Amino acid sequence: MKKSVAAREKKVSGKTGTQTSQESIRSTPISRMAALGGTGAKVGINYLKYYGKRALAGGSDRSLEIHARELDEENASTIYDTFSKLKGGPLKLAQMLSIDRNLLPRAYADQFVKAQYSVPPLSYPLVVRTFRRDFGKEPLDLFETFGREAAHGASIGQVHKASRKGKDYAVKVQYPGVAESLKSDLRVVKPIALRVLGLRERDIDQYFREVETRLLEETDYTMELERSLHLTEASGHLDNIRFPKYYPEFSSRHVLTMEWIKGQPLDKFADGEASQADRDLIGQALWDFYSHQVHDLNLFHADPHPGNFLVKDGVLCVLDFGCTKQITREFYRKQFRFLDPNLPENPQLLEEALRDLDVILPIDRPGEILQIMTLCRTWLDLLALPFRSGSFDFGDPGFLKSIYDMGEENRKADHLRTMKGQRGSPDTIYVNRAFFGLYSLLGRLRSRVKVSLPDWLK
Amino acid sequence: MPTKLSKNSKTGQKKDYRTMISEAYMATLRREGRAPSSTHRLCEDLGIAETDFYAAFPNLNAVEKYFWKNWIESIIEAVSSGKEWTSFSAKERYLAFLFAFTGEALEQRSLLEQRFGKLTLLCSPSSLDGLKNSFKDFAGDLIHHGIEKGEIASRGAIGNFYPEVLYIHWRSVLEYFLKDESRGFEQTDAFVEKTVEFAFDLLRTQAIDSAADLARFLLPQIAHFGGKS
Repeated sequence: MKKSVAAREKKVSGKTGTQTSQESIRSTPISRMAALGGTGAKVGINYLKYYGKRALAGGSDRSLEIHARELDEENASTIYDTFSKLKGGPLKLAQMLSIDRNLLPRAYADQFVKAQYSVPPLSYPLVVRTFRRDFGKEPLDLFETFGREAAHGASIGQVHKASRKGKDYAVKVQYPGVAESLKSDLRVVKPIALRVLGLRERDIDQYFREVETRLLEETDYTMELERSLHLTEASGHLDNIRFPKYYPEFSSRHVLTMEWIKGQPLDKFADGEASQADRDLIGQALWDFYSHQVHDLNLFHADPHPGNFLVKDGVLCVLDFGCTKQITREFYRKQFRFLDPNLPENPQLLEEALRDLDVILPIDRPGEILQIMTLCRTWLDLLALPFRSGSFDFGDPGFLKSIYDMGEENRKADHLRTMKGQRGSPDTIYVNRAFFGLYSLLGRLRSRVKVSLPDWLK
Repeated sequence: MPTKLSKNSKTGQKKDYRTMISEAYMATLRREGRAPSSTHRLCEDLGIAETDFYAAFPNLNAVEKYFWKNWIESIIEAVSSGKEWTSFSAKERYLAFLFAFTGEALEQRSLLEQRFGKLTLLCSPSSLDGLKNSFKDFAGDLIHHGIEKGEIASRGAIGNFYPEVLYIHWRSVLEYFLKDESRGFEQTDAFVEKTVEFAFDLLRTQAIDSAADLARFLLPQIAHFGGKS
């Protein structure tokens, strides 16, 4: 395994060094569709940029801290620079809009997002008001105890600990009017982003709408409850994974109540002293959970960041289904066809797959098609690597680093500036976000995972 | 209410006349967008003698004064008898009051629109005197509680204006509520939360003192330069 990653790295950096090939890639407007069809790759890269680099830093907390700070400072200073360079990246807008929760280095996120989407803590009287509004009752009418201070924050609200008849509950309460302020924030952000990034509205419209839809879904606790119940039931048979119980009777539009689970946050577990066997166990549970959701259910938890998971007695607990993504069977087939081991070797099949996903458009000339395919092959060799050999060691820092470097290389390239037509599907954003998130979580966990292709690709 | 009327003692009767008259008065205001045009008319509609009216109220304006005062007092009463009230800080008490108010305001929205919709923030007609006094009593207690707990900085004479400032704040909440177009008027709750947070930040720190000091320093100079030009 080590060997193949090393070889991969070599190949990637070799490519960077080849001036002519890079030039030609740069000058191609469409080569920005470098990843499996696009936008989401960029979104994912930023997951990696933060979590991946952390994983690479390895070692002591101190070095992690230093690393995080470096990352922040680096970004704070280059932020304007970056943005002015990234003209043409409809990807960037999507990315910018999807960094609603610390996916990016903090200094970066602060500039664009924190002011927009993070909400201050709710006062206790406001929590009471929200309960009265939704249940006609106060928290203490429903529960025997109810913590006045929030136990911790949630993306658009906060979590209170409550108890009743000897059971503990986690009660998520949403800030009032958050959906509306989100909408108006987006309305404000959109034209600014378009201008700063030098984008045409019609080019990014579908990405924008996709991100907006997901963000708004997160504000709908009624929907989150339904999805949580559904995914919990449909994934209940998996090993070493559990879900909190949900309580519809104590849930409403602004309140979502679930079982209180005491466990170790996944990032603490990953950065702690856990044995390799435990790391493999948790990593496998995570991998199996995602495989099941994506390949069997076509509905998945699209926000794999450490805050959404706890580890308790060797079992992985999945806490938050705020951001889920449903894909159609048809799209699923188009997208995951790229995992077919025969695809990279067969130009005809590859071209067909890329056309199916609208990455290659009818307007493209043969030269452009060839470039897209070359780029796609390079990405596939890297991203599909875990699927190639039955098991994979995500603890190998070379793997994440290669993805990260490749993303950076693409990000810095000037060719992002122009493009013709909308390419790829907006559905790809969250598929990629989920996979990049998953890869970086597993990297941080340093797990060795058994991987198999879905049956239809075997 | 009128069914009770005949059964009650004389003092009780007087009280129920007050309720009955104020309800009829507010019903007219709500329905027709203006107060009853005369005492005579109101009494005729209610089928009572004018002497009964004057035994209850000195004039029509007093009826409305009575209604608003009662209304705010019932909200204060309800919120301050809540289970957790005694353990609340001044800020929490004020928030609890305002949220109880926004809840109640939903029931009276059309009436509030009639009475407050066209008023500017600082304009307080005499029909609101009773309400204002009751509010300021409540606000005074609140400030006192906050100063005792060290939540609000004590500032002698300036502190006397605090209840007045809170009254204006409350009116701004009402004005926001009347203009709010969000679903379930949720944005009003957010407005309350954010403005109270800000206000108590100011009350806690020396910001007000510094502002007053700056104003004392600048005002004579502004007057001076103003005179010159």
